[in-house]
Amino acid sequence: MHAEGPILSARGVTCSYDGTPVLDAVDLDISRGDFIGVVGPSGSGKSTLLRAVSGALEPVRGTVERGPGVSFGFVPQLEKVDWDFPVTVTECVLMARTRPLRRFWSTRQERRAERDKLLDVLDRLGIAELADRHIRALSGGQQQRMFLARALMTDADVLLLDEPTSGLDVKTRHEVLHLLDELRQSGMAVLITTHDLNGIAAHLPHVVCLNGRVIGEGRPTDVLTPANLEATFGSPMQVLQHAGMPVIVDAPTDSIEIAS
Amino acid sequence: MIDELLRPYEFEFFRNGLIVATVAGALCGLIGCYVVLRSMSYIGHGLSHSIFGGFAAASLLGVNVFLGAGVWGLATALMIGGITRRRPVGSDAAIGVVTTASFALGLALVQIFGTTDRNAEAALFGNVLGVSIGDVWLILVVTAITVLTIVVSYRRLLFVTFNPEVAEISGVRVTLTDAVLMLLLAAAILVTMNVMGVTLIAAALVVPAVIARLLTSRFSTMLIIATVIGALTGAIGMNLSYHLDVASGPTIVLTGAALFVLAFGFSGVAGRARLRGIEHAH
Repeated sequence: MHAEGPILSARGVTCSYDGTPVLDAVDLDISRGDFIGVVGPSGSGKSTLLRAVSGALEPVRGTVERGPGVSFGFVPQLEKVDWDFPVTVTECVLMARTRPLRRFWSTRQERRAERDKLLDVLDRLGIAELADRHIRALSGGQQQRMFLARALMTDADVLLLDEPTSGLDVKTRHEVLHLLDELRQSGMAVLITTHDLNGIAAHLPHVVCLNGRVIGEGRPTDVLTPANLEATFGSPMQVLQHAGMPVIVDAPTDSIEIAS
Repeated sequence: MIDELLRPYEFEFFRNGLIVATVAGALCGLIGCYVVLRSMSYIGHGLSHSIFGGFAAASLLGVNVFLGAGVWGLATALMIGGITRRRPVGSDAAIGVVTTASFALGLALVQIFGTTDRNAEAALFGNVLGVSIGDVWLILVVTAITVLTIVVSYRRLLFVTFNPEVAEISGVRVTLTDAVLMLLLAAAILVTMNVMGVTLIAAALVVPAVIARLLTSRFSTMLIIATVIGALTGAIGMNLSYHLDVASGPTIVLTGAALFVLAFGFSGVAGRARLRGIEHAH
């Protein structure tokens, strides 16, 4: 469907903070219509990878080639946001639109076009009636949609989401995943990090197991194997099959005795 | 009664002082929103104190005091950044060491060599007797540049203040934007030093923003309210300063504090909930 090849190519990307290596020789291709989940334990370099592909962090070795004009929208972890900050939903959604419109000397048509686009995006994400509310008044799923709207307003080509479903209930998690799938089908590329193997990773078309380096990459059924998972998480796991999908459970080790 | 209230307006020094105090209050109120929301209150406090060191040194050497204090202020800001980056000293500790040392140096210089004029005391506590027409123009120019910068980079500044990491990934030059904000803050402190006094500038930065936060949860409204409140405290405080025969810095800050109490009372439960957000951010 999207045959034009990758819009982003990372080759041998190596990153470190204060001399401590975090990513080691990571290769990654991203094309339009991709929906990629990066799984790994905390400290495995997932967030660093997002920063490196977007250009916010320069790799110490390796290259990231981005297609001309490729732009990034980033959705932060909800837990890391200051929800007491005085902004309304509209203010939040518009703040990332720093380039297409310079409020000071924009024309009336430009302002009207932006207003229409804003209403359109809010409507599409089902948060139009919340436009003038303070951000704290939203539920977790609505907060997630607000940040997606912010990314859509900038016409981002690549959507980066850091643990987009952590802290959300099962129903909301499904809604967010379906929404991301719709965006992917409209031609965006979606890259998310997650440590939720069964709830998220197993449902995605493409998974990357990361622990400093890439342990495995491909379809969940091919990649989420006991060997890959142990190399990624450092703990033995079993993979069962259920309705054609992998289900990951902790491997039985010596049983833990809990005194009653 | 009315005659008595209007009497100071007969004097040119008072009219100049009133303009400077009102504009200074508005300017500090506007910049103060960013200072408060980015939890930079302590930087504002420290920077104003350290600038006093540069002020004393410059007046001793016969250099233009604004130039001297400005260069000194920038150097301190860079030093704070440098120390913080090398760790293991936290940024608040770094600010504490650098700026109080600089302030102490200024005090020592003034005590050893005496002051050539009344400027040192004015810089410490605020005094508008020395406000010249040149000072009026200076603060008007700095305010115009500040307002223009904030209007043109409104979204960028908001983005960097709210979500710096996200802004960086979305392609905003965060370091540059931060530097611009520090520059605006240093300039604001510099031109308001004579009216507010370096020891009290921090209050002029923080109080209007906190009052505005009590009254609204919308960022654009907060900027406007803080600017208006700042201007009001400047103007009222200036009049009080004349009638009570107290330095302008304390009367302006006390006016702000009184307005805060009023706003706190009137804004009710919702306002206090909004305020908890500010405390939480620190």
